Parts: sequence; C-alpha cells; structure tokens
Amino acid sequence: MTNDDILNIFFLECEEALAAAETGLMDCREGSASAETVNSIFRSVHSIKGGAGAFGFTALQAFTHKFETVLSFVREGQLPLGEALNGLMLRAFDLLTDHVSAARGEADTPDDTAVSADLEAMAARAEAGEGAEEEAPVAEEIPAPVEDILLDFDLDSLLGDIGGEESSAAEAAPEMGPELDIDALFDAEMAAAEASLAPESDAAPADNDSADWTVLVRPRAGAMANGGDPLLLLRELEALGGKCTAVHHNHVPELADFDAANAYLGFVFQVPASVDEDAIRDIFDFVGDDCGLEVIRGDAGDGFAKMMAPEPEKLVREERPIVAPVAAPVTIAAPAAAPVKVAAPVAAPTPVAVVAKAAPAAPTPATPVAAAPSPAAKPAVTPENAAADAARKATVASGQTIRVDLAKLDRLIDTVGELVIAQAMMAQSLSEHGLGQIDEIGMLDQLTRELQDSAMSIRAQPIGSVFSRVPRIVRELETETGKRVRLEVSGEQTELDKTVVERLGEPLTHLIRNAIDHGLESTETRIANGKSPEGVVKLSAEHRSGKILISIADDGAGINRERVFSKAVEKGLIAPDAQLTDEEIDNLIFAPGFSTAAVVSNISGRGVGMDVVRQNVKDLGGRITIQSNPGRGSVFTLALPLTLAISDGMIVQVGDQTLVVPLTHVVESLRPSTSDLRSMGNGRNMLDVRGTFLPIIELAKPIGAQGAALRPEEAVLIVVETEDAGSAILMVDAILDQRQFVIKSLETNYRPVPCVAGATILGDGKVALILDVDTLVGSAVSYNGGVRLAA
Amino acid sequence: MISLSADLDRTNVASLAHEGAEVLASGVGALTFDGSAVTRVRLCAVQMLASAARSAATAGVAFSVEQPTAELVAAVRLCGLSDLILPSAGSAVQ
Repeated sequence: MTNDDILNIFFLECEEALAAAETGLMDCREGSASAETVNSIFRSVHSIKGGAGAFGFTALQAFTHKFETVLSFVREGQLPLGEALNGLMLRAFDLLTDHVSAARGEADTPDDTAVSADLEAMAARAEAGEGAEEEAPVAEEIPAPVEDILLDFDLDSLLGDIGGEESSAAEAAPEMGPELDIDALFDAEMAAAEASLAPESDAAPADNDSADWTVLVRPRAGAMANGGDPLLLLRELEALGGKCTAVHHNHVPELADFDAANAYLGFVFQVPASVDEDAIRDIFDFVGDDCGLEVIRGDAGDGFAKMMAPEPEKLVREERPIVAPVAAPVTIAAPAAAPVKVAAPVAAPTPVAVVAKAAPAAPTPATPVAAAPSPAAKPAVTPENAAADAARKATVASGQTIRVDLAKLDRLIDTVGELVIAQAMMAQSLSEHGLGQIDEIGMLDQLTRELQDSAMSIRAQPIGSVFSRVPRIVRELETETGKRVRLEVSGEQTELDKTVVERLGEPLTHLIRNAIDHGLESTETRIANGKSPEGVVKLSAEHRSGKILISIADDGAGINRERVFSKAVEKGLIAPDAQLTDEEIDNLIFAPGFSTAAVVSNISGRGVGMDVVRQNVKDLGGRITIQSNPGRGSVFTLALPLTLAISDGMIVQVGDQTLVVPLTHVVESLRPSTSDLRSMGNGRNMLDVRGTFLPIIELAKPIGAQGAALRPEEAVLIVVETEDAGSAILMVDAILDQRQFVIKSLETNYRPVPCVAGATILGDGKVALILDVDTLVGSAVSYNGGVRLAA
Repeated sequence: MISLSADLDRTNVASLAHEGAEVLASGVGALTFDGSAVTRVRLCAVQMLASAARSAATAGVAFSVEQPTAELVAAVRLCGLSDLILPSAGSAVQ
C-alpha cells in the first residue's frame, strides 16, 4: 500500500466521519440528540483531526482542534445545546467539510476566521463557566460516557499495513467473545474509578491542579491488529515520565485458551502533574476505540483503591487478584548481563469486584459503579433516542465491510454479464435440441440470476451518501433566500448502483435549489396564504418495480403555468396559440435556457439547470416527471435504473432485425383493430388508445429493417412513453421475449448511432440493438410534424 | 525449555503459547522459557508470558524465564508484570 493509498483511505474515512457528524448535528438541531450523539460528533471530528495532523494538513488540523474543543465542552455538559450553539456547530461543520475538500485539492482553503473566532469565544465562555447563550431542554440526565476517547480512523492499521506486519493474520483474527466481557468489566471499573475520583476533585480543586495524572489504559483487540502494538503507547507514556502503578491481569486466560490476537491487560499509569493533559491524550490519538482511556487528575493510589473496593451488595466477587501493585521499579543494572531485582514481593491477593457493564445509553444510571451524573446539563436524551442510538450501534456492529478495488468489481460485473449471455445461449441451444425443458436449465437460470443480483448488490450503495449533502445546501439556501425550510429525508438506505449514485449529485442539487428558490414562497407570502412560515422540502427514495424512485417535493406555490406558457412563447419555444396540456406546460421548464425567474441569482434563474437535470437523468437511463398543484407545491420524480449494466427489455422482431425496447418506456402492447386506426396521410397513422390518439412509428423505417409488416393491422403495437415527446406507438412484427439484457456500449465498441442506446447479445449469439426510445420518438414525432413539447 | 524467538510478534507468540500449553499438558515439573534471544517484544508476548505464569501456577509447576534480554525485561517492567513474569530475577543479557 502506498502513501497515496493511505491518503485516499484517510479521505474516505473523512467522508464517513463527516456523514456521521452531520447526522448527529442534525439530531442536535432537531432536539433529538442523546449523549451518544454528541460523543459521535466528537469522535468524528477528533478522528479527522488526528489524520489531518498525521498527513500534515495543518489548516484542517487547527480548525478541527477548535471545533473539537467546543464539542468537548458540549460533551461535558459545560455548553448546553441551544439554537446559537447548534448554528455555530453547523457552520463549523460546513467549514470543516470545506477544509477536507481543500486538503483533497478540490478547493481552496476556506476562510475560517469568523467561525474560528466564534468557536474560540464559545470555548472561552465555557471555560469561564458562562455556558452558551441559551440552554436546551434536558429530558433526562444520563451518566457521563464511560469511554472518553473513541476514534474511528485507524491510522495504526494503515501504517502497519505498509510494513506488512501481521496484516493478514490480523485481518483474519476474529473478535473474541471473551473480549466483550473483559471490556465490560474494565469499562465498569473505569466508571467506578471516575466516580470515586470525582468527589475528590470537587473537594480540593486547588490541590488537584498539582496532583499527578492517573491514566487508565485498556487496550482492546483492535489495538493489536495490523501490526499495532499498545506497548508503544505505554512507552510513550513512560517517556512523559509515566510509571505503571498497577496492572489488571486477572483476565489473562490459561495458555490453552490464550489468543495472541486478543488484549487482556489493563494498566494504571501515574504521569507527572506538569505534563499537559493533551500530551497524554495525543498518544492515543490514532488507536481510537481500540483502546479505552481515562485521564484523571488525582491521587492514583486512593482512587484506584476505591475503584477496586468490593461492593458485596451489588457486585459479584471473584477470587483471583485483579491487581498486581507495582511497589517499586524493577532495576536493570546495565545493558550487560545483570540480575533483575524485584524490590517487593507480589502483593497479596485481594478480593476483586467484578461488575456487569452498565447499559451504555440507559436513561438512568444502571449500577452504582457507573459514573455519577454530571451536575451540568447534558444533551437531551429520551428512551426513544437511546433506543435509536442502540439500533444504530447494532447496525454498525453488525456491518462488516472490506474495501475492494473498483476495477475488480467492474471485472466481476462484466464477467457475470458474460455469464448471463452464455447461459442464455446455452439455454437456446439446448432448446433447439429438444432439451429446453430439463430441470437443470431452470436451476442454472435461477442461479445465474441470483449470482447476477449478488454481483450487482456489491456495487450498490445507499443513496444516503448523496442525500447527506442536501442538508448543507438547504442551510445555505435558507441563509441566502431568507426562507425557512424544513428538510424531511427518507429512504437514505435505498441502494442503487455506485455509478448512478455518483452521477446523481448534480441533478439532485439542482432540484433542491430549484425547489427552495422557485418552489417555496417567501415566509411573508406563506403566512399571507395561511401556510406555515416554514416551507417543507421532502426528499425520498424507494425501490419500486425494479426501479429507484427519487422524489423531491415542496409545499410551495407550484408551477405558475401561465407564466411558464408566456415565457415559452416569449422565447419562441412554442407558438402563441399552441394548445398544451398542464403536463406539457410543466415540461417546458426542461427546455434549454428556460427560466421564469425574474431575478437571476447565484441560486438559480439562469435557465441552465433543468435541461441539464433532465439530460443527466436521461444519461443514467432514467426519467424525470413533474406533478404540480398550484398553491400546494410540486413533486419532481426521478425514475432510475438499479444498475447501468443490466436492464430489463422487451425483445421484438422488426423484419430481419431483432431489437430491444427498454421496459422503462413500455406502457402496454396491443393488436389494433382497424376501427381504431386513423390515417394522417403520407403513410402516417394514429391509433385511438382509449380516447387518446397516439402517433404510430414504423420502426422498420428508421432502423432500415427489411421485410417488416407494412400495415398496423398486421403488426404488434407497443405503447411507449418518453420524457419530452409524450407517448407514441412503436410498430413491430412480433414480441419475442421479455428478459434482462447486458448493455454493451456502442460508443465504446463502435460509434454513436442515432436512436440506438446500445447493443446486447442474445441467446442465439446475435447482436440486438437497444432502442433509444426518447430520441427515436422525439425525432419521429418531429418528422411527422407534431409538436415537440419541451425540447 | 522453550526458546522465545527474537521477534515476539503475534504469529510467534501464538506458536509459543501453543507450545507452552503442550508442555504443561505433558505433565512436566516446570515451565521454562529461554529469553536470551529476544530483541523485539510486543504486548501479546507479555500477555502470553503472564498467561504462562498463571497456567503454571494453576498446574502447580514452576515457571521461569531464563536470561531475559534487556528488551524483554523492560517490556515486562513497563507493563508492571515483573513480579508475575520475572520473579526469579533471571539474568538480562544483551
């Protein structure tokens, strides 16, 4: 692994950390944050800071430090959440995002002067004990979090990977069941220590400042992975003047049960008072939650003794000693051979307190060993919030992921595509030999489809990665427009192909900006119209009928059709006397250069957005539709394919050509009766489909097929719908099949062909062209003299 | 006597733990490690030696690390486990 690889992984980790932080910040804003929410934000920012420092991104590191300082005060209850603080944290988050982009070389380093000053001022207020300007309501107080530092960015793992030390073994090492028990025990012990030390701190603050640090260190299995070695951390503590005063070793198993990948020991170090706390914590920056850490100002001996004192009423006793006090250092005379002097005998075994781990997010202290509730206000937490936290944790815990080179994935997809083709060819070949009905064919077909689904699902990503950028856009637009907007997001976990996800960002951004800038009325207008002053934008995604539907809905004024119509006439897009349906008028907004905005702003109004949106969606093989109700708002719906590689289609015969019509366009197929047909002259025909006349397109002509049916009465008609040319009818000789097909790019393998979206290989090995229905119908309708609605 | 390898990485430690367990299972009267070759120590090695000491005590056999190097002694001391792992004060060699 090269440094660039590691850097890329760092940036991926940054993305994940930013996403987690933003989710948490939005919870804070909505008043649904729990203590774990704040912890999660802190961890995210802290992990970015750690990586930034390692890679030399000083501006990023400096800013995250300021942000983190404020978050630490929030976490400790010294800064209660409120509107001002939430606003500051969101602004800081946006700048943090910009800093990360700058570190990636994608943008200039942002000017964080103002936000930095605000963060420092907020931190100063907290230090002065003034708190934030206003306080958030506190539903229930909870114990302070036991685990103080939990990092996500595993730089040690990466650095270990460079050296190739034990990486494979580490990756293969399972998380051991007993590790959980050990963690639970040690966490509880740490909590007890914290509880026992806290009163002392309160009682004698002046003396406490000069007291040594007590540092409790509990490495976990993850700290031993990928070449990591907690011993290095202890050595750094030692370099600061720290000395191990006690060690937990009663969790060390017998040799027969020993697992070299697991961590069993816990340490208590005494570090001189003169050492800065940050210097101690910095040592553990990169091990994250792989190493429990408590840094406590105070007398180690007393505090630790209290921690170890048995509490028979609540605790289970264990006979083995849990602590081996180190009475005096072992001396080594010189590098030359010398006896090791042990100054004191092993301490006598003492009864040991073993406690069950308190529920991490319980709304009330679960056991007396948990840390006492902080007297300061904590973020509001409710049982529901705690349950949600627990659910999130469970999701994270159960999700085990690996990173795979995208090229390998693409190769897999390609191979599966070839398999689909080969399977179809074999099935057809067997069928020609009278073996088409054998069971194995069905089994193979089923397995191939399952394999294909599995392969596709590997490339699938939650759409949440795109949705996550929307809250910031909304916040910015709120500021720019002065409108109040409530964003409601659902379906973030809906998965679709990675390529689709990556290319969805731009059209989605346009649509959100459009919804807020054009869709929502001003606050004053809304109030005057009897609406809530706060506009609502709903962003949702869902699977439906083999497609992904993404909708962007607003509760604004809806499309002003009169204005759109007059603007279209003004721009020469339509004739003044054109008779258009509401749907057709709505679709005019997708015309290039079309905009009804009276004022061109940096938000929208230049008319360069919606046609690009439509083109982007079309490029993804999808479609966009509008539903607008005057006074009630608009809904833009994007229908996208699950994947760009394989799609469903109707295989049709037109003369000597076999063609594929993508199913996304197909409405229905029918055989016409003569009475429903109308001739328009020049060989053009229309069909009356339940009261609507649709143009019939003889596919043989644009495709150049020979021997096709010449009369609609002799053909099969397929009703299709398109984005910008309305509905039409494709005239074919026969429908051969309906199946999934692997899309092969003509542009890549040949050259672009008008009205053809690509090609595929059929079961008989023949190449079939996939129709570009939008272009085909658009050009045919235009040729026929019809009105092109919005192009 | 079980010889501790120079680099006590996780693979070696796992192997040594297995070897130690077999020695104990064989019913010998002492579990002895030779620490004279050790140059690199990780936490897993210290844990293994602590595990060996505990297992030996459970089995009622003597446990010792002979001729621990300075690196091994320092690591054990750093972890506060000298009393458990190096109670017999074997010689430190360079």
